[in-house]
Amino acid sequence: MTLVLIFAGLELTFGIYAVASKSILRSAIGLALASAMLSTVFYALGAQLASVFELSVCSGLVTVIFISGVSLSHSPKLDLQGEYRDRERNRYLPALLIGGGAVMLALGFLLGGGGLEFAADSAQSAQEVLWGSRQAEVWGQIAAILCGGVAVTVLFREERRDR
Amino acid sequence: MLSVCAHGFILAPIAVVLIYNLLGRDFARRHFVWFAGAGTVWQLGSAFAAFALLWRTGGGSYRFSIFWDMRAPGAAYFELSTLKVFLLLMIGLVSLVSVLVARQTIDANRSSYANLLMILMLGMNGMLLVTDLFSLYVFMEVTGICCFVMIAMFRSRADLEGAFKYLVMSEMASIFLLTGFAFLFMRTGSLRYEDLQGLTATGGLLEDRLVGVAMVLLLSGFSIKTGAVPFHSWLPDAHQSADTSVSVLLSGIVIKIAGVYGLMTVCRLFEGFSSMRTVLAVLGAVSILAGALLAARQGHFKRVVAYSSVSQMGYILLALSTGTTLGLIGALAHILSHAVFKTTLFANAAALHEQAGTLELDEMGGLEERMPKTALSSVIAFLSLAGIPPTLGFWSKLLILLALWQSGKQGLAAFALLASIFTSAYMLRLQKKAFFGHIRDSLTDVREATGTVLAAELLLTALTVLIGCAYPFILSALGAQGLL
Amino acid sequence: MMLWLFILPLGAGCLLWLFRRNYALSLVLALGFSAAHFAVAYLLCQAGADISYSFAPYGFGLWFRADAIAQLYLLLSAGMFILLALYTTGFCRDKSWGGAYQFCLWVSLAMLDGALLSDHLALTLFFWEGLLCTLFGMLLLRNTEKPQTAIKALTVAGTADLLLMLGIALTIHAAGTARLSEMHHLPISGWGAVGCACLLAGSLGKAGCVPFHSWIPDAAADAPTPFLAAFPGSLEKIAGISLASRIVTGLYDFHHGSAASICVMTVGAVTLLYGVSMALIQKDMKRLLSWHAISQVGYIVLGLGSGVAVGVAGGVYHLLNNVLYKSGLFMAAGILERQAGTTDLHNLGGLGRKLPLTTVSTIIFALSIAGFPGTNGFTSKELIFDAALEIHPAFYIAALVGAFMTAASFLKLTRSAFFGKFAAPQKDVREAGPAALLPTVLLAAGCLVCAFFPVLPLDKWIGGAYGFEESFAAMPKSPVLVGLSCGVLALAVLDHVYGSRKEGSALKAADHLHYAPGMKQYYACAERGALDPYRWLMGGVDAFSRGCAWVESGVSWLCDTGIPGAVRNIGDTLSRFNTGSLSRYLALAVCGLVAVGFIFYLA
Repeated sequence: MTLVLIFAGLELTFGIYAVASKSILRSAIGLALASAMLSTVFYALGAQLASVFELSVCSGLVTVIFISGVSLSHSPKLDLQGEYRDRERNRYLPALLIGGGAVMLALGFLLGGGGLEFAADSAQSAQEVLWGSRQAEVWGQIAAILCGGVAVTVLFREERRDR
Repeated sequence: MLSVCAHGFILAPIAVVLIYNLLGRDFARRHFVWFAGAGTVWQLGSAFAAFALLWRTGGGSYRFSIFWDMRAPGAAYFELSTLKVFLLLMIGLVSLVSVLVARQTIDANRSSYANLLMILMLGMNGMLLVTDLFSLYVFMEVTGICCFVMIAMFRSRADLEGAFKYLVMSEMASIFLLTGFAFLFMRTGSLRYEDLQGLTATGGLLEDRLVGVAMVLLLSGFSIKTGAVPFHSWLPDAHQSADTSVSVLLSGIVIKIAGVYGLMTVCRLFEGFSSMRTVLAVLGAVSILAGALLAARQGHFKRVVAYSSVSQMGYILLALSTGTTLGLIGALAHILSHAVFKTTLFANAAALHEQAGTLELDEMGGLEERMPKTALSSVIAFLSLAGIPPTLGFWSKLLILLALWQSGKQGLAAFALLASIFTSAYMLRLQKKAFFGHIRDSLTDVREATGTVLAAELLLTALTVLIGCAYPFILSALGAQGLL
Repeated sequence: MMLWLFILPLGAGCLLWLFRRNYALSLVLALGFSAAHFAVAYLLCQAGADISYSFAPYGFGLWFRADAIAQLYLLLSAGMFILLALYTTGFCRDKSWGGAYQFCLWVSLAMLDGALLSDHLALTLFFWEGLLCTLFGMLLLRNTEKPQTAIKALTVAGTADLLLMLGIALTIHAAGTARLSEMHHLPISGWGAVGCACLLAGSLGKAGCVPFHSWIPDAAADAPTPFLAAFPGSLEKIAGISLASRIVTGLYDFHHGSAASICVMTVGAVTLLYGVSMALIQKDMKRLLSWHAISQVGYIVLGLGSGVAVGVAGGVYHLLNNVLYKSGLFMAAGILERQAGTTDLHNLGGLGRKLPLTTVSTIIFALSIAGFPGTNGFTSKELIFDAALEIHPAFYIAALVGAFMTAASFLKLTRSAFFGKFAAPQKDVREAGPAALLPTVLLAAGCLVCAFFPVLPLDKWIGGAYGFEESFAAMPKSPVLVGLSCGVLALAVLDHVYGSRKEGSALKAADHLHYAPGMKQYYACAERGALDPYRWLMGGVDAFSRGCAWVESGVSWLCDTGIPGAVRNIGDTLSRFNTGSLSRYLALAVCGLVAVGFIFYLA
């Protein structure tokens, strides 16, 4: 239990760093670390498959794509935070996130910290889960993939045209 | 027949996307509107057909699955019911209007609008059809990301900010919802509707603090999606940043499907929690008032309309808070009438932007003499919003007030009625500033809206009046079914 | 035949208006028609008591009844009117408003006849209101630019008429019928009491009782003198007192000593004292006389209110006497105004030699009104004193004080106007023409006749009309009372002598009373108008309208400034939450979550 909490706390820290950092490269690394922490949390809670996926895809693959994309663009060290018009965000967002995190932690203890039951019921394999009882979500996943594809083409094509 | 319609709700948008992308690049780009239009018309048609078929068999629901066996134990399935088909119909209508507006406001450079619209429709259809809370969430995420992209795609980098804010707020909603689902799952072991239904009838879950917190989170999450006060902050910025056809979609249908339908589902599944209805009532009342008061201070046409959406969502929330069938019918009626008059107003915004070149209220004025048809449709939309017979809005407001009165919340009914004064006030201000008064010199050569935008305006105006006049028949039909 | 009583005056009015420029013709017409009118009235009375006449055109019922009481007053007014007509025609000789005035006057006669004769209370009301209309018209005639007096009269008399209306409605409700001939001795309790009070208030107010008196002194300044002679002098009094006497004798169950009686007598006493105290200090003859008119009504009311036969007889006889000498006094004032140019006593003096007949008449009138032993006024006053004493000594004392002040006032008037050094704005003062002089002299003669032969009016006419068995015409029974009255008169003479010696002139003889401590403040109040009920009413109306205006401005402020301002401010405040800052939005959402949680758990 405490292990989960420690890793969750680390994840939160890396996450805040990712959001508040001024360099996009550093943000990407922060994101990678946060995902890694999350995958350890998954593992500690008994969801090994999810942990593996999280580590490989989110922590690994996504970070690779991010960094390659950043280095391919013309200004890798772009001070994006400075470009951002919302200056208040820089000042208050960390405090907000930490505050929110504290509130949630408090709520968690209030609601009976021992209520967390480990979902150790891995009797079903991923296959069974996906095709046996979550078929409707398959279509959702299809939609999400399509959406992601279109989003990428739209947003980045837009960028190229603007230039 | 019903099975074709039903499957089509999921498969047709995918089909359109596939066809659109597989055809020749240039051909597809030039005729993207037709593809989008085809998809929406199919949606509208099949929804009508499904509605008629279901109505004839006296309501009830129709389960189906796509390429899997739903009779296996523990399998998921899609479900159609008259309420869902009605909302599917709404999706079709609003999407059609969006396409009509898009024909003139979106050029071929941004032709991925067709793709995005189809995926958005898929997402919303999916939200309506599933019978599991987590699936609901998945499709909601699809909807959210689609909307984000649609908001972002037409603007320069500076206004990307609006889209980003929308995304972040959407993610906040996701956080709330997921946490709520997690707590629920911890306690109940399942997220399917059929498992959750009736669980709260017996006392057990009602006292559980975790489940209570889950309820709060679910309500808040869906309220963010609805745009209820105080979760509404993203609405005006998103509307202002987006292109008008996207605003039509956002205000016309997305906030309702993603938000209101979610609340409806939560209320239906967890009927035992009476305090949920109180929360909805409070949110509704505050939304009506705050939305109206904020709308009265805005200087941009689309911002006024955006806050107006906030306010009208409040009415729908009030109707839902009664927990009665009449309240549900009132909410659905108001969804319809709001969709119609809101899209009319956005069509007017498109026309104004296209012809007069500006959407700032201080730069407009007296356009009624140059754009009479637009002004007419705007005024009729205003009448519908204010709840003046025989428009659509009058009936829906009446149903809501009746539902409130009958369920013993006379104070809320009186409040809703009095707040109509505020709603009429800001809309009147909008009309006055935009269309009436003295015409400026810079605007004297403005021409009337043309083409599909005009067609959209007129179609919607006709709908407002005609359905409004036909309402007594609708009500008697509902009464014959025993719903009233 | 009763119809002629209406046709003649109406016809006369029209004709006199048409031929207003021809003086001789006007005289002939006036005399002729008024004589004919009197003849018809006399014939009606000769035809016997209790003639009924109903006239029902097109389904409406008009019931008229000339019972004994009605006949008495009818004859009185008809007779008086001959003199009035003559005087008025003479006075209006060269006046531009003369024609319209004559018309109004004759219409008033028709209205009065109707009011006296009608048997149906609603019909009475109709004629009563007609009198109000002509009153307003006559006051407005000369003063179209400054109609304040006319409006005041309309308001005050109108209020009295409204009360009368209410009283009539309640009486009809209490009696179950609207026919006077069918109403006898209604009980004074419950609604009946309210009805009786309203009826009395209406009729006495018409006669000029407090608090409906305040227009009369103002009219004295603004109205032509014949109006004063006609209306406050005779016609209105006749109308009001006739109805009041009906109420007191037969209509309602009026017992002497009952609460109602005490109330009425108190009103009478207040009127009496107030009128005469105000009259005492007046320096203009017409105003002085108008205040006395009010005061004399107080005497009548005192007598009527007592409820005993001697009081009623005394009151009605006092009315008769008043008609004689009050109108006469007003006519004399009119003569002074015409011949000497003014009625302001400051500018008059020593007119006795120039206007001998007028002076003699005035002296007779003054003696009568003061109640000098031997005059008709003395008889009626003694009867009233008797009645007052029978009820309560306080009323008697009030009446005595009134008598004192009346005497003092008239001493002042006659001495300053007719005796002493000659003074007048018009240098060439000659006696008045026959049209003005004849009525005055005839009235004086009438006073003397009544003085020497009291049996005729008192027992034969009044007693016969009201059905009194007792004869009141004999010398008063109690020598004590007579002695007291004489003593009061002597006191008044002494006081006058003292006053005139002190101040140096007859005019200022009452000044020592005016400026006495206590009286000074009282008079100052009255001068300011603080004691005028009309002022109170107007003040109340003004306050009410200012209240309404305040509410109105409050409402419009709310609609124009308050609500839009509030809306704007709230909108602006709320807008500050929507600045575009994402962190603010997120914070708001989290706050919203907490709020939802609160509501969820509190509900």
